[in-house]
Amino acid sequence: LSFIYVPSPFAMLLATLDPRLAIRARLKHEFQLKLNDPQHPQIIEDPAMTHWVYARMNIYPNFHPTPKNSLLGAFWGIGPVLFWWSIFKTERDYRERLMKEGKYEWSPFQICS
Amino acid sequence: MLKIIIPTIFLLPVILLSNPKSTWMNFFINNLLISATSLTILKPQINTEWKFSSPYTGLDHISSPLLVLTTWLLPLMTLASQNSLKKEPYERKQLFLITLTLLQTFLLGAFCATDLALFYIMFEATLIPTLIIITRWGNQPERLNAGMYFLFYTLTASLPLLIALLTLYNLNNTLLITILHFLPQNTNPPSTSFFLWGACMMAFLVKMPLYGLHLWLPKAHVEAPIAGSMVLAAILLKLGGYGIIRTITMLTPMTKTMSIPFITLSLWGVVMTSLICLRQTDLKSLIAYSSVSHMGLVTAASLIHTEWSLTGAIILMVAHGLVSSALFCLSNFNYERINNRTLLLVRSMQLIMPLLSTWWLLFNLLNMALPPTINLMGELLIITAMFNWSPPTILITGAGVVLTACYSLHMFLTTQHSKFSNHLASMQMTNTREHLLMSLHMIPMVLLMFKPELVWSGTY
Repeated sequence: LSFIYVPSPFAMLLATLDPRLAIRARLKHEFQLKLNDPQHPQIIEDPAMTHWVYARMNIYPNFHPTPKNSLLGAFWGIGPVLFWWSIFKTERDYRERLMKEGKYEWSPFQICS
Repeated sequence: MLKIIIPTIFLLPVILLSNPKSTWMNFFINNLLISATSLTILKPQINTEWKFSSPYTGLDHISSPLLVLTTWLLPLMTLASQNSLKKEPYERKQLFLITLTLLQTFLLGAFCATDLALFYIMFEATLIPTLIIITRWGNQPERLNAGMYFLFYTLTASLPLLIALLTLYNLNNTLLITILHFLPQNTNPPSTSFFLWGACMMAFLVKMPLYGLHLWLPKAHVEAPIAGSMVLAAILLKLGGYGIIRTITMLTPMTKTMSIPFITLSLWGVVMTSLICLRQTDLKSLIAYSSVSHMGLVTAASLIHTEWSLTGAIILMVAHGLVSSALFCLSNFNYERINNRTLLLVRSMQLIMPLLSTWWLLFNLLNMALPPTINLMGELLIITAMFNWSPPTILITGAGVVLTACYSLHMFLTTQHSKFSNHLASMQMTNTREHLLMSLHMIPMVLLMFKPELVWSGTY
């Protein structure tokens, strides 16, 4: 049998054994080299940031309609428009009806009394 | 009118025959002279006065402020693009300036046309130089997609407008705006009137843009070079508003019912695009969505077409033109330094470039309609007119005002006050050219603050 080290659930992974920390240390080293380089480039580009910005920009090309998507889109996109349309229509029709019956108050408030 | 159009056309020989060392200077100075000449138009006018009339052109109380805005903006555009075109060969710089001049000529023609056919031709003609500017001098490969969206959205929506204009010509034997308002209203059955209303309005609503059809705007604004962004945000959107204001008086019986869904869409668009602004990573995209938000208010106001709402719409168009163009210039300063438009990369600018921070603060305050600027004047008039039209609108417009303040504050705080980013090793200081550009945006705003009667459209 060979012993395979598995971190116990009650203790954190040792810093020297965590592979992610090694990558992080390497990236920091490269960044510090570029930052302190006397002939440095004016901008130090971060590829992770480029990926993130690109992902935030390209949501729609990767969109395909699913039932949940379509429901949410209808609820937030078409729903409010129909809701406010009905409110404005009823309010305007009510006002029109009042005007036709002659009961509409054109200037309810007086400027000077 | 000729005193503005002929010097603009003769900017073409100025570009072609200038000494290469002084082309930009000649172009800029001549443009400023043309803007100074156009300031004579800017007198408070009454409603029915047509100035500088000729058989084909004339200026009304609606077109004069927009015309002065157009002539003011071209020198600012050349000042802004001078740095981004520094490395190009001389012939390409000449081509750029020629495209700008052609665009300016078509815009002038559109704003001073009295004949709707001439207006339509100029309206369509402005698309081509703008498309050339976006696709040729934009900076990312997405500019091709952006140009296609821009061109085809507007073209598809404006073909019905052509048919509607031909129909109107057949019915009335004229297309002069001065006459069409006073001809008897059309007595067609509602089904025909429905299509006529839709055909006339769709082109301008897409151009405004209306909230559901606004997809072209963020793409076009973001991918365009700085001059393209400035002219798109400041003037081309206003062409849509101007078209709505001109054509809606002819469509009166149907407007009562047919305008409600579009007013709803534009008002809801104010709130939705303000919310989208809060989630943007791209600075130019944020400013583009804020343009949609402001123009939603203008669309709603133009569709109601009362006196106060028209006044508010025109003031807001002029104010938004200057402020939006200034914000695009500010974001271009960031882009020229780091070649990246991400909002989170240029933080804590107040420590690095404090004078520029002053401009950021001023234009963000103007964007959120701070009193006593004319932005507030426009927004307040529009909100009041909308409330008079129907009281429930105050809920949407109120939320819109709060959210506008939210994203303006977000834009200012993120670019000026956040934690400084470590990866910027060195950054160029702001030059005099950039400060001149910003002050040339600010001076009209301050002057208009003191005498807004110049752009109040003839009701005072």
